[in-house]
Order: sequence, then C-alpha cells, then structure tokens
Amino acid sequence: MSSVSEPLVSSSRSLSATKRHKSIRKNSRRIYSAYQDHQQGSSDDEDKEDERVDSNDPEEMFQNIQYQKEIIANIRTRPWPMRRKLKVLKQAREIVLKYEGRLTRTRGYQTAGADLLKKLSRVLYNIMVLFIPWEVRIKKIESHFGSGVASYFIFLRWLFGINIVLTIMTGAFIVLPELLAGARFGTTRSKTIPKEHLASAQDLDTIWSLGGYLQYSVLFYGYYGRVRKIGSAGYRLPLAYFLVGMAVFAYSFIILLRKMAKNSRLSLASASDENFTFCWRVFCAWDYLIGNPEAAESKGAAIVNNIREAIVEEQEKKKDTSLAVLISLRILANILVLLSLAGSIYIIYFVVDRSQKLEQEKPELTLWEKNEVSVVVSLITMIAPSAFELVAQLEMYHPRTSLRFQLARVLVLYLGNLYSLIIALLDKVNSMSSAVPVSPGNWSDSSSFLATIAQPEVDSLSTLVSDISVSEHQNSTIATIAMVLDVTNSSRSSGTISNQTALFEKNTRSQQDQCWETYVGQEMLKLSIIDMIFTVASILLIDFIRGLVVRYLSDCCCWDLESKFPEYGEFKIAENVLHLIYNQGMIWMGAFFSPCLPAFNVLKLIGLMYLRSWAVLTCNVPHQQVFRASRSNNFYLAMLLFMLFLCMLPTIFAIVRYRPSQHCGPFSGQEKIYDIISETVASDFPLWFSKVMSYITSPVVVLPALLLLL
Amino acid sequence: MGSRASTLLREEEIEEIKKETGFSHSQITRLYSRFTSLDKGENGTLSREDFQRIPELAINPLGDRIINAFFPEGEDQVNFRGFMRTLAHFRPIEDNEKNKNPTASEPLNSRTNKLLFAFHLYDLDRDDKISRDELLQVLRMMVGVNISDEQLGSIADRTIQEADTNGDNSISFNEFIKVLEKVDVEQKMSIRFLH
Repeated sequence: MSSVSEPLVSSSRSLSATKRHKSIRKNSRRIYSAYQDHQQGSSDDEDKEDERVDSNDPEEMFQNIQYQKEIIANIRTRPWPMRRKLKVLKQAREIVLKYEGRLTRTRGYQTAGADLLKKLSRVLYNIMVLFIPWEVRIKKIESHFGSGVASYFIFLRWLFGINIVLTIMTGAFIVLPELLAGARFGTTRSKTIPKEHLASAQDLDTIWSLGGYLQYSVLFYGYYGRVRKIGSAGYRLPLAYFLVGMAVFAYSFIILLRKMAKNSRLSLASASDENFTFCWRVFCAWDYLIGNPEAAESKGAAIVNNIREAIVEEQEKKKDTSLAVLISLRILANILVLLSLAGSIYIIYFVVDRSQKLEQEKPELTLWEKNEVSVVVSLITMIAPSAFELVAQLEMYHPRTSLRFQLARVLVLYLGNLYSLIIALLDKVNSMSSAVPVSPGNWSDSSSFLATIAQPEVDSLSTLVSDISVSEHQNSTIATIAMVLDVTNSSRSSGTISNQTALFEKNTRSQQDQCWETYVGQEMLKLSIIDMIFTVASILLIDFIRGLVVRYLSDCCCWDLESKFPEYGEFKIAENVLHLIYNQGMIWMGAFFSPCLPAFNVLKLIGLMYLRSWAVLTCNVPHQQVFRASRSNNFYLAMLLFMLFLCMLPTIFAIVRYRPSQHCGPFSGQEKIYDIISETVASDFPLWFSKVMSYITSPVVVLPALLLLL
Repeated sequence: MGSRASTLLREEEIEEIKKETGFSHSQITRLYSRFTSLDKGENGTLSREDFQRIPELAINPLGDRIINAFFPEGEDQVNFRGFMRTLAHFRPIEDNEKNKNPTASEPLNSRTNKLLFAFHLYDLDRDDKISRDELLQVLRMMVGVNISDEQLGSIADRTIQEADTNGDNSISFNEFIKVLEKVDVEQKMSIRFLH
C-alpha cells in the first residue's frame, strides 16, 4: 500500500454541493475520495494511481478542497476501522494544507455569496408574487368562467397600473408643488370664490355640478398659479404643468406600444404551431405543483372549460349555411347598425345644443336640465350595445369573430358619442375664449361713456385708455386710471370714474370666472362620475336583481325561469372591455385640464374591480358557448391605442388653437399654451441655446430632416 | 464491517446511486430521510398506500398513474434504489451535460428519458403505443363526470388524428416526442431538489 495515497475512486460523477451553475465536472476522477472500491485488485490500484494527477484547474482544486474538508468533518461517523480513519484523515489534511494556499480565500466566499444570492432572489421572487394585486381573485374567476372573462379583469388590472403611474406623475409634479408652495386658497383672484357665489358654495347642488369649493381647488386647471417660479427652490410650475401634460400622453403611448410588441412576439412564437392543440390539452393540462384540494378543484374546472372550448372550436369548423342567405343577412345587420350609430350621434348633438340654448335663455336650470347631457350619453352607452348584440345574432359568425364585430361597433358608438360631446364642448369653449377680447369692447363702451361725461382732459384719457386696452392688462389699467385720476385731480370726474370702475370690476369679474379650461375639466369629471354611477346602478339593478328574480321567483312562476327566458345573465365581455377603454379615453381627454382626474380614475377602477368580481361570481353563469379568448390581447390593446390617439387630438387642438384664459391657470396671459416653452428657453437657458433652437426650428433644418426621415 | 441494517444508508450505496442518477451526496441523504419518513412500515420499502398518503398525489387526477410509475413491473414494493431511479427523471438538466461524451449512456434525466417516463404514464399495457382506449381513460380521469362520453371520444379521436403520422390509429413514442417538441419539457418535468 502506498504511503501517501489510498486506492482512488473510480469514475464517479458527482455534483458539487457548492456549484449549481458550474455543474458536473467532466473529469471527476481527480477528486480524491476515501471510498474504497470493493474490487481491490492491484491492477485497479495502479490504474488509479495514475489518475492522481496534479490538476491546475482552480475549479477542481477548489472542489477537491471542499470535499476533503467535508471528509474531515464527517470522519467520526464513518463505520471504519481506526487505522483507516487515521490514514484518511492524514491524507485529507495534507491535501487541504497543500492546495488551499494556492487559491485565494475569496473564492470560497464568492461561491458562498453567489449561492446565498440565488437563494435570496428566489425568496424575494416568491414574496413579490404575493404583491400582485387581486391575483387570487382573478385565478378563481378564471377557473370558473374561462379565459375570456378573466382577460377582462387582467386588462382592468393593467389599466389600474397605468393610472397609478399617471397619478404619481401628475401628483408629484403638479398637484403637490401647487399645494405646498403655491399661493394659498383665497389669495389670488383665480383662487377665491366670487362673492355672489359664496352663499351657495356649500349647496349640494353646487357641489354636484362641481362648482363652489371644488371648482376653486387643485382639481381643476384654474387653480394653478401663473407665477413662473414658486417656492424657495424656484420650481417652474407652468412649465411643469405643460410638460407633464405631454408626458402623460407620451407615457401612455410608450407603454401601450411596448405591451403590444411583447404580446405579438409571444403570439408569433406560439402561433406557428396550432397543430397539436388537442394533444397538448390532453397531455400537458395538469399543473403538478398544485397542493391543496381547492386549487385542484379549480384546476379541474379549468381543464373542463378548456376542453369545452376545444369542442366548440371543432363544431364551428363544421358548420356551414348557404352563402347567399348569409350575405344578405349580414348586409341587413350592418345597415341596422349604421342607422343606430347615426341616430345616437344625432341625439347627443341635439341634446347638447338644447342644453346650450337653455343655458342662454333661462337663468336657473332644473337638475335634469343641468345633467341632461351626461345622463343621455350614459343611457345610450348602456342600451345600445345590447341592441347590437341582438342584431349580431342575425349574422351567425364564429363566436370570436362576432365578438370582434361587436367590439368594433360599440367602439364606434363610444367614439361617436365622445366626439360629438367634445365638439359641442369646443364650440362653447370657442365662444368663451373669444369672449375675452370682447372686454376691450366693453371697456371702450365705458370709455366712450366717460368721454361723454368728462371734459377736455378726457381726450388724452380716452387715447390713453384705448392704448391701454390694447395691452389688455385690466389690473394695470385700473392702476393707470387711478394714476391718471391723480394727475388730472378732478374730483368731479373721480366720482363718476369710481362708479365706472365699480361697474368695470363687475364686468371683469364675470369674465374672470369664464375659465374655459376649468369648464372642460369639470365636464369631463362630471361625465366620469355619472358614468360610474350608472355602471354601479346597472350592475346592481340589471345583474343582481335579475339573479334574485330568477332564483327566488322561479318557484312561483309558471315556467322555469332558470333555463328559459330570463335565465341568469352572462358576463358580457365585449361591452365591459369597451367600457373600460371608453373610460380611459375620457381620462386622457380630461387629464390636461383636470390634473386629479387620473387619481379619481384609480379609485374608480378599484371600486369597479371589487364590484364586478363580486357580481360575476354571484350573479353570472359561465357562457354556454365557451371560446378561447384570443391568445394575444392585441385586439384590445389596438383599440386602446386608437382611443388614445383620438383622445389626444382634442387636447392638442385646444392647446394649439385657443388662447388660454386671461385670469386663471398657469398659462394665463400668453397667446398660446405652448408659448411657455419658448418663453422658458428664451429666459432661462443660456443665450446660445435659444439661438441654436431658433436655427433648428427654422425651415432650413426642419425640411432636410424630414426628407431624411422619409 | 458493521451490521448491515437495511435502514442505514451505506457509503457504497450512495456512491452507486450517485453514479446512476447524478444526484449529489447531500441530495441523496436528504431524499433518504424523506424516504424513511414516508415508510411507515419501517421495512425499508414503500408500498402504494405510503405514496397515497402524500396530499399532492392524492388530489392529482393522474396520481395513481404516477404512483404506478415508481413500482417496477408487477411488484408492490419499491426500495430506495428504485425510488431514486424514478426521481432521477426529474432532476433538472444542466447545461454542461449537453456537451458530455456522446458515447456514454444517457443519464436518466435527459429529455428523451423524461418523455419516456411521461409516455409510460399513459401507456398502461406497455406495448409502446397509446391507443384510443388508453387516451379515453386518461381523459376520463382528468375531467371527472362533467363531459359526456361521445364528446370525450371525439376529443380522443381528434388527438390521435393530430399526432398519428403512420396511420396505425395510436400514438407511438416517436410521435409522442414530435407532439411535445415545442413544449418545454425540461422545465416542466424538473424539480429543483434542494442541496
């Protein structure tokens, strides 16, 4: 027996305990093991002695050392004779001593660290999964109702995430600075409730129409001051307002496009093989990680649903009807739909028109008349989709195709509604914002009045006044008038002039209240609130009551309510998804004018999630015909993108076309809202920058750049 | 040397198991303690009842089949070696293994062997073919009583139609491999055994 070594191990492959990622050593013969082979033939000994090569590979040496240390630690427990134990111990110690010096000690720490990191990241990942909101709820719904219904809730959750980000953006950059560092409530003109409204400011009526305290708060555009820098750090609020407004759209675009790209990549990867769907369903359906009985039941139900979906798909492929009948029916259906769409647009336009006329004629409107527009819009959005569904039965498409058609039609309906509303609104805005230049007209009236009563000094006064009116700073005109009064020092005219100024103040006050941006914001918020109320009402009234009626009245009615006419309702995926998209479109439209709108939407979505998930599980039954939701949700996302684009347009249009209100908001006094950018660039950036910018934006550079991009 | 109590795990056995299955030393020891905790009869082997005591297997619709897979042909008891041999199929495939010596025999956890294990779950009579009846049995186990017989029958037919390439109305092992080509078997049939 050699003095130094024992017969060595044969080619056993061993996984090192410390190296998961650098795994099996190819030449594990180099690991010295104390295991004594049964066959102690001398030939084996000699063979194995050759294998005792000094390896230079640090990996192997390291493993070797670890292994020897392990042996040393465990030597007591081995059932070997003492002599053998001593030999092995001696050998192990020698090896450790000899080789450990060669390796840096940090090697051990490194691998131990990497190990720990891996374990830690696994634990963290498990914890993170717990934080995904509503996951249990959605999984439960999915197992009972199928993937189509669950996709609605997943979509809702994703929109919730977007809205939270939007809230954080607007909140952190606009609302909070204004709250903390801006002028307090009641200090400037745009922040105080005018005297005549103060008495009624706390009426329920005023609050409902978002007037009074709500109007003069951070909720709306009008509250934000136009001071270029606020607070001790000089935070540029108007600039921030504009940039965040644009950033809201940009962010929405980016995240939407990213998600669509991800989805299409997924679908491309798996869409190539629709071949083995059945085999996969049969062989790969069960999730072996399920541990508790309830989850197993859910999974079983999900498998059953899945198989039912597959059966429906197969049946659809086999259906066929005569072509001519089919086409004529479809044409008829389309004509009906178009008629109803046109009808709804006309109704909305009519209603908005009427409300405008009413406002101009009557001083005091009833509750119905004030809210007529929103109520009518919400009613239409509730009723029309069901009508479309009835019509769609004529068409006899595959359920998934008919769902898509339904979605497209309801989308057009919603867009039509939203747009006719916006157009009516913008009409009003136009009249409001073009009313402001009327004030010089008023002023010239009063100045002519002055001219008639005053004496010769008035000539200079009127010219002064007309000059001043061109510049349109009323406050300073009043100051100038006071100055002129002092200069002329005629007590007689001062009395009349003070009367004039009082009258003038009243005029300007009423103009100051005309803050068209706040008005737009108010309308959007009102629409959103009423929409929420209607949704809640419709869920409770239609689904819940229907469920109650069918359940409890079927005993006393002559036919079985549960299987014939009313039945339990089914969850209408199409309309609900579109409703979500419509809702989001409203938010996008109003976000510029009412920065707290995303925050309101967050609350609305939370409430909607809980209410709908409860309603689905309590009042609805799974569809009789179950079809798989399209694997990529790109269809919904494409519609959302379309909505985003269309809802961005009115805001951009308002920014570009209309001048901001004179007396309220961050941009008052400018010609156009986007002037803030050029103003900032001119005043705050170094001089060369503005020169460079003007060069860049001149046609000389822009045209070639455009051509290049083309 | 020492009494050969069958409940103690000897070093030689560990080495042999290591060679055969590729588990590491500590993994084997840990799995041995699990084996002994399952073995209520304390006779060094597991019976079917011992397996059915595991809750995850009990609620699995295919649980019986899996338990069956542990027992070699016709036997009712499985010892630790057999236990480890079956579990070896579920060891994750590591990257280095793919470059190893191609002439050596395939390790138990290669993709083909995993698929073979799965195949045997469905092929009850071990004739290397999954016939329509066997498929029906599996389907029935999975869906319970919720779906009617003809519907299940049509699904089985459709499944065979999809997979069958040589027209013998049953799924052979090669066809099975082809079907599951795109499925990430390496990940789905792997258990991350703790070290």
